[in-house]
Amino acid sequence: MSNFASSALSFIYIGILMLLATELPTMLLSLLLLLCLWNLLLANKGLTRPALLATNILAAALLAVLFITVDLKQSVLLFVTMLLQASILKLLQASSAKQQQTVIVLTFFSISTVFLYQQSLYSTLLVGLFFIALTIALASLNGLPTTRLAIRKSIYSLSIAVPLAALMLVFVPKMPAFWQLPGANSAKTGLNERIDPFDIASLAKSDELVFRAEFNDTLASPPYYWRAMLHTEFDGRAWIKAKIPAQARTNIDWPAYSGSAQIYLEKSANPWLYTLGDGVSRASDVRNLSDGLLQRKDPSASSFKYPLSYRPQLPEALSRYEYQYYTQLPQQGNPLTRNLARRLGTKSNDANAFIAELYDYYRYQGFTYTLTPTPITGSDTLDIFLTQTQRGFCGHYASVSAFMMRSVGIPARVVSGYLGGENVGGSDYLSVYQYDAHAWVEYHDGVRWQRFDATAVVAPGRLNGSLSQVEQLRQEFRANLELGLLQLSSFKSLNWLRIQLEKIDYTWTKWVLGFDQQKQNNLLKGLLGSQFAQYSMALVVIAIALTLFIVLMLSSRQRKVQLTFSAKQLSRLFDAAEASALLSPEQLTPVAQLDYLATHTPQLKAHMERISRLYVQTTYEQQPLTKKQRLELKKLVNKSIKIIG
Amino acid sequence: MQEKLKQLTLGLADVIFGKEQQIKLALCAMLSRGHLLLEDLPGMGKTTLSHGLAQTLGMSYQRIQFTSDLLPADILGASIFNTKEQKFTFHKGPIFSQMVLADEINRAGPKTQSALLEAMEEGCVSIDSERYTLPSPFFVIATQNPQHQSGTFPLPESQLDRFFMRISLGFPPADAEKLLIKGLGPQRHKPIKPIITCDELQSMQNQVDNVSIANTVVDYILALVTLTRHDRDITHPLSPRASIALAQGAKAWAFLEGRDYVMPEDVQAVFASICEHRVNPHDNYSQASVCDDILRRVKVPL
Repeated sequence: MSNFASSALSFIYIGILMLLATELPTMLLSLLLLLCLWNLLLANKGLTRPALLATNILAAALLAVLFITVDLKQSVLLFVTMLLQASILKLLQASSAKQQQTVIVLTFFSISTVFLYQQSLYSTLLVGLFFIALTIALASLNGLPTTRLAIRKSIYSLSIAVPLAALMLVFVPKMPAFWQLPGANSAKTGLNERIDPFDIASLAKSDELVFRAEFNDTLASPPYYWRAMLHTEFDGRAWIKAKIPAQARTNIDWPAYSGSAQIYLEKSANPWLYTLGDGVSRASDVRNLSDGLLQRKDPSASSFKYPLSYRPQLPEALSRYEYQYYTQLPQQGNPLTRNLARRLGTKSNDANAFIAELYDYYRYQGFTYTLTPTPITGSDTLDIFLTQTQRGFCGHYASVSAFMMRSVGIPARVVSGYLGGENVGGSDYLSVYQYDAHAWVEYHDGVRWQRFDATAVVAPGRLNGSLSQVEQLRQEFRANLELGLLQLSSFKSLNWLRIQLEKIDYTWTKWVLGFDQQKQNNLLKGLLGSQFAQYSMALVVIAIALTLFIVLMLSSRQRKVQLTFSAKQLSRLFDAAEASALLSPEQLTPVAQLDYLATHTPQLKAHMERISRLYVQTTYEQQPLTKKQRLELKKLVNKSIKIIG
Repeated sequence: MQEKLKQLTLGLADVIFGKEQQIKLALCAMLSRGHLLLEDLPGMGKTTLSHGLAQTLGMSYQRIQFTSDLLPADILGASIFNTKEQKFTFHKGPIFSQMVLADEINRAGPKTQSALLEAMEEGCVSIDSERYTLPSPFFVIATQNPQHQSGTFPLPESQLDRFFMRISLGFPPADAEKLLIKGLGPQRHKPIKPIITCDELQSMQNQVDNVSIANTVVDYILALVTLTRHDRDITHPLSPRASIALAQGAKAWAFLEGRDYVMPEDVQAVFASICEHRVNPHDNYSQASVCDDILRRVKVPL
């Protein structure tokens, strides 16, 4: 049985490592996986385990690898990896049931570390499976004879734990963390602080969810341009984010913000948040910036929720300094692009006319939108794109357009964020995925910042929804997507499945991950009435403590009188025999007592022998009765009682 | 294995007549790696039994006759100066054999007794700051005369507790004694052939360890032990060592019965032998009444 536990633990650790695969350095990951496989081999072949010295040397080597491959600043990853390493090595060494029990206790912690990195419904379900496997291993270690019994026992104990967990989620006071760990630096994003699309050959896009937006009254109308970052400086090759951070905004005119939405952000370690147009948020840990963008004060990698109020960008005059800042370009480079801009500039006398010229230029000069552009290397990348390749995605068009505008003195900047969002199955919220990442240009026409998006002319369909919905690009889009359900969405049933899963995940994010202190307060107020609300936390804590106490009392009392099935049957039989004064007056063992009954009441003899056999089998040999045997035992006891009576 | 076991009991029955129960108990102690205390009047066959055990189990055997002037060095051995090599060399005493018969242990003084008992507990002896490991398996069979006989130093409770079992042989049944008188009993000087080897004994011991014991049986042992701890009439309650010994002895008994699981009957069979000398260390030659009383009072859990 201890081998069973050991293999189960190996599988659990392999599972944990797979879930954390993207976080751990490849070298360390493969080493730890090898250790798990080794342990699996040892457990199944019943080989002797490595000596203490060997394990210690292995541990030292692994620690060395850890410190080489993991940055010391990533303290969370460091601790998680050390825990995993220690538990796996301990597992490798554990030969006795007692040592394995220690590993099982450690594993309860190891499994929970997954939540530091992943909190989605699916990973939660997977983690649930791990816990089931773990408790099965624990049950089998504690001498439950069959795996089936162990599984039943484990599921039973976990099913008790689930309502308790739900209760605690709802009622236990939400407290701020006792200490702050630097966020696990993990989340992937389609956005980058540097926009340099030219050497990319194929834009691999991920169908990972970025955030969901739930609109409070009505769904805003498309196109949805979710602004995240401004790229205001061109370094000769790429557009980069301003090095000077934007100032925090003071005195906000709240009523002017007509639109409002709740944003449910997936786990992300990035500081930037998303807004439509000019946005502000009342959330205390969101910083409202002067350029209408939002930032997280503490970008720890956990899911996050914030209310958003937004409005279109208002007229705004540029100061002299700002004008210079938004028109600066390097002295040299991309002469063809500058020339072309100047040529278009001479045809038009103001900014808006230039923009119209630019749109026409893209429209009639054979530019196409593609996710698999020809890579361009070297210098003057903009020139090559404009004159030779003419194929690209949003990043190309945004870079070139902003450059051209600046070269004729129109203040311009590149904005990155997401375009669109999928309104899954007609619900009232939008889901925005990594593949919706987008870049466009904002230029100042003298009055206000205006949006310029060359994609609108090159691939007009892209504006109306998510990238996945653009008919024209569908083939290319699928080919570039990481394997997932979305890729198979042309099958009707699979698409239906995808939409259902998406809806469930939305509910999970909104109600479980997004269940914060405020929601809790509201719920408790609703339950207890507002006059008790101030004591609600105390009441709830007392109630939970009381419940736990009662449950403990009951369960400890129950344990004493709990009899197994066969013991119950036998005690029924003995009670009946005692009532008829057939029982031996002496203190006999159950088997001897049955013998006594058989010899003193001859008509019971056959029954007693069979009952005795079944009782010995289940109680002393510890081989559980089959359903048939249980039935047989019950019937035999009933018949015997009838004879006695 | 069971076949060998049967041969073993039959072989021993040839050595000592009409004492099947005691032979089985003695084997039970051997299988549990426990030491044995034989207590009876002189001339009841104590020495014969231990001698027979050592021979049939194929172990090296030494007999030490304890007397009031026996010293620890007489048992353990001593370092003697070797004039040729100009250094002390250790000469092993009789304790360095697999089975040691400590005859009439309560005739020696406490110092000598405790030297033996220390070796029993540790499995090794320390002389002149050197440790010497005793052979394996290592058994001590001690015999003792009833304490009211003159010239005895009674073993203290703590040392009695080290013995896994205490067995009294008792008088033989009349028909067996009749054969003995007629000279038809076992011939004293006929050599006894070993029936199993030490390796086989050790593998049997391992099998005994693997005998399973159900929770109900453990509960039963606990109930028995607990009673001795709460009853005011019992001055020497059973220690955890005793409960472990009880479980081990029950396993060995079940193994001797040819089962790989323990039943309450097994516990009852070994209970008196394992516990009597622990709960009732002084009044040692009275009828085994305390243990019987305990067994009678504890209900066997279903």
